[in-house]
Amino acid sequence: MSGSIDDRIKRDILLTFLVIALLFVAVGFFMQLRWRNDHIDTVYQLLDAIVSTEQSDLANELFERRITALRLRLQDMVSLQHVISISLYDIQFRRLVHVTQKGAAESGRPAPELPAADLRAGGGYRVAGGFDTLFFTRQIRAMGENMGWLAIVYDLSVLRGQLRMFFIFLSILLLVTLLSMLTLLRWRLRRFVIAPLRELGAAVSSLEAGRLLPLDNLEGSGREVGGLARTFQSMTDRLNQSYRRLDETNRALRDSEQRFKSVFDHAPYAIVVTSLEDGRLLDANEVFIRRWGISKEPSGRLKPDRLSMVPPREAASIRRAVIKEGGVFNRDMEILRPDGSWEQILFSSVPITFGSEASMLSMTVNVTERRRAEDELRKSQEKFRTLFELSPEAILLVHLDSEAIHDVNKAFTGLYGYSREECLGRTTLALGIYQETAERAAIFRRLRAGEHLENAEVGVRHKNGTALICSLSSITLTLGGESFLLTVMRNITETRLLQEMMVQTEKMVSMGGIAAGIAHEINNPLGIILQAAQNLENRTRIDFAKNRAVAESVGLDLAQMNEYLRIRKLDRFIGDIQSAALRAADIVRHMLDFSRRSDAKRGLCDLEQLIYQALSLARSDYDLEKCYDFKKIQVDVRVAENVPSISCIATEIEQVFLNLLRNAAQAIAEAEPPVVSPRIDLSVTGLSGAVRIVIADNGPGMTEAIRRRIFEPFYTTKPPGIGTGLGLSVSYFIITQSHRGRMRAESPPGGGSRFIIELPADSDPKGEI
Amino acid sequence: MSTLLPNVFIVEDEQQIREHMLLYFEDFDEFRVDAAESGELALEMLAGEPAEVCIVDIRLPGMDGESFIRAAAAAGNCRRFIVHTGSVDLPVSEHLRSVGISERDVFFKPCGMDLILARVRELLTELAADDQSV
Repeated sequence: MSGSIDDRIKRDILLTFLVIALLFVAVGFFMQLRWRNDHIDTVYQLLDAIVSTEQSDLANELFERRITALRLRLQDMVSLQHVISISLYDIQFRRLVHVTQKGAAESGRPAPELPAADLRAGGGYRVAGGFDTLFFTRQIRAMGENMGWLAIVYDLSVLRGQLRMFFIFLSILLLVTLLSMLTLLRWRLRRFVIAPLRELGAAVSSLEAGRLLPLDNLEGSGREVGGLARTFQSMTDRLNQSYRRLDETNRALRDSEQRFKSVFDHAPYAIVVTSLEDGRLLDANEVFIRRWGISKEPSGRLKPDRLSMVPPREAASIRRAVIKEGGVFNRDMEILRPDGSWEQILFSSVPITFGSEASMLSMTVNVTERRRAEDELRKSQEKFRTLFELSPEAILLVHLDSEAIHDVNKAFTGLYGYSREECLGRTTLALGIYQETAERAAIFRRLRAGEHLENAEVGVRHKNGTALICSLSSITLTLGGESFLLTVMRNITETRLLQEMMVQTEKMVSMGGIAAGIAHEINNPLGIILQAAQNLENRTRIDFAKNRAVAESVGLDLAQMNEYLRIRKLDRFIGDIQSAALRAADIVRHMLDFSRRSDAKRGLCDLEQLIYQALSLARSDYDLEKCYDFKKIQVDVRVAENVPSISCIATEIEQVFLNLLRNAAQAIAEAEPPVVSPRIDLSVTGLSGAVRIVIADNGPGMTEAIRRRIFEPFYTTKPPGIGTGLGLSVSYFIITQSHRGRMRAESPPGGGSRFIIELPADSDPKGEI
Repeated sequence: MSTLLPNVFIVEDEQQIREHMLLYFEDFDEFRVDAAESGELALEMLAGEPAEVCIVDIRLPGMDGESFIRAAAAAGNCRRFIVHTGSVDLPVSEHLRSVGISERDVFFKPCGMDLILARVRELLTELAADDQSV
């Protein structure tokens, strides 16, 4: 759309004028042509009529060749207005007569020659030299015979002048018409269209300043433009309103954009928009830019516009997820930092349209530190869990307020025989772990008072009732806002036994050393006592000749003296001296057992045989010691198969068995009320790397106080004179020192006593259990 | 005292024991009994009058019991030996075994003299049997 309406209208008018002019020309030309043709035709018919009237005379004169006559005749004819020349030709086309109008010749213009070709064409007319000349030819016939040719040259210049005049007139007319039309049109156009339009244009252009249209000026400019102006006016109003609304919207939009831009830029997380198609960076916030060392040009372009932070395969997987699943949310990823280090991030991405480009909005949170901390925490938890679980000490976590067990470790379940499930939620009181509830209460009291317990010794009980001694350490700690007791329990039952054993052994060894030192010195006086008593006894005998001789010499009746000794029990006194000396000697000998480094050879032990030997010895004791009757006791010996072989000093082990059998028998004999069906059970079983021998009786058993002292030297429950108090000590010594075994006494609640001996098997390289 | 009675000799440094044993064996009128307080003295005494059986304490001042036994046996001053010791444990050494001492000939103090007497009688019976067979 170019050019003003004025120009276009001018162009249209011009085109219209052109068409009109062309129509004029065409019509004029057509009329001129018709007029000329009509004129020529008239001329032809005139000439033809002239010739027809003269034809018979001409034919006669031609036939008679009367040239002069012909000439005269032709001169008459040539006098006809506008005829220039007339020529007469014979049939051989030889010109016979040629006449020319005088005026024509004189006017200086030579009469045009009729070309011979026209004659041969056989009659008719031809116009030549524009509309100048008409060439007319006609056969002169007579009696149906060609006599010759007549040719007339006719001057058409008048016609031509008329035609020219007509053309000029037409042209002037056309010009005048067109000019007046043009003037009128232009005037009207200016007055009613262009001027109002210009004003409207000016008015509309003034709209930019927000003014109202000056419509008054346009009222006279016609209905159309006035309507237009009013339409403009209402449109302007609406536009003004729209502009205002648009302005408000724009302002709101700008504010909103600024707000979002601010949020985007200052978000504490790295945010980036990348092209879904090729992964180009389209926009990034400040955190991202800073973290990745990217520069942002004022135009908003990022440099570099590509980052290889994610391995290609991962990047492809993210793109797939974003496209197909509508996003990736909080995916754990590891990315390569520009400095070559790896960073743990939490990655989220959603598809968005950025500008017109399909993009993804991604947000990353650096969780390296958090992950590391979590990792450390997990490792730490695992470590502590492992420590907790694998600790050889029983660990117990108890809720301080409810006293319910929160957790126990494997060692705990192993120590007490309760499964973890049995323990959880219950209290140690309900489980009956503490032997003394008062002790438990005291522990809780102390811990609640903020004290720590360290290696407190408490009596506890296994699920099966076995009493144990534990070293207990406990502290209070806070877990998740709640107070707990962390208690570590170490089973020191065995340690206590070992300690007891060591104390015993120590006592025995030191006593043995003393005994060894004094044995010789004591044995000699004992020998004197014994022998003196024997001699005393001998020298009161009647059957000795020397005694009788001496008695006679002093007048003493030996029989009477013996009677006296018997009645006054002097003989018994002597016997007492002897037995006491022997007993003392026996004690010394036993004491010496503790110090003796026996040279007796160790050999492979047949425990079963040793048991039976000891049994037979014990039974023979019956006669010596009246206190018990071994024969009434049911003895049961059980030896398991596959008992590991052990080596021992047979006499010592036999002595141990004998001691234990005697003790058992004596205990049964002392029972009050008597044991109904006394029995002793001996069993030999194999342990791993050891052999266990148990000698159990169903006698009255022992009190705990007795049990604790049972292996102490000189400790005895038997009446004076019956036991030395060394039998069990010696047995203990033999087992623990000489054979590196273990020995302990138990008194089960059901009554009776059990002595348990464990001897290391030969295969045990350390020689210890 | 009949010179046919076998000679029993006691080597014992403990005077009371030595006396009690002398008295004890004398009372039976089966033996000629003599005693010395040391090995050296005993060898001297036995040189003039050899004994059938010697009852020897091991722990003696000067020459110990075992040396005495070897010397007496080598000199042929005593045919059989009984050990009577204050020790508690006495393994029978090869030397003692070589002169015919066995565990049965070892007595630990304090010990009833009747037991020693029984062993002396056994040994004498053996010796008598040996003499007859020769």
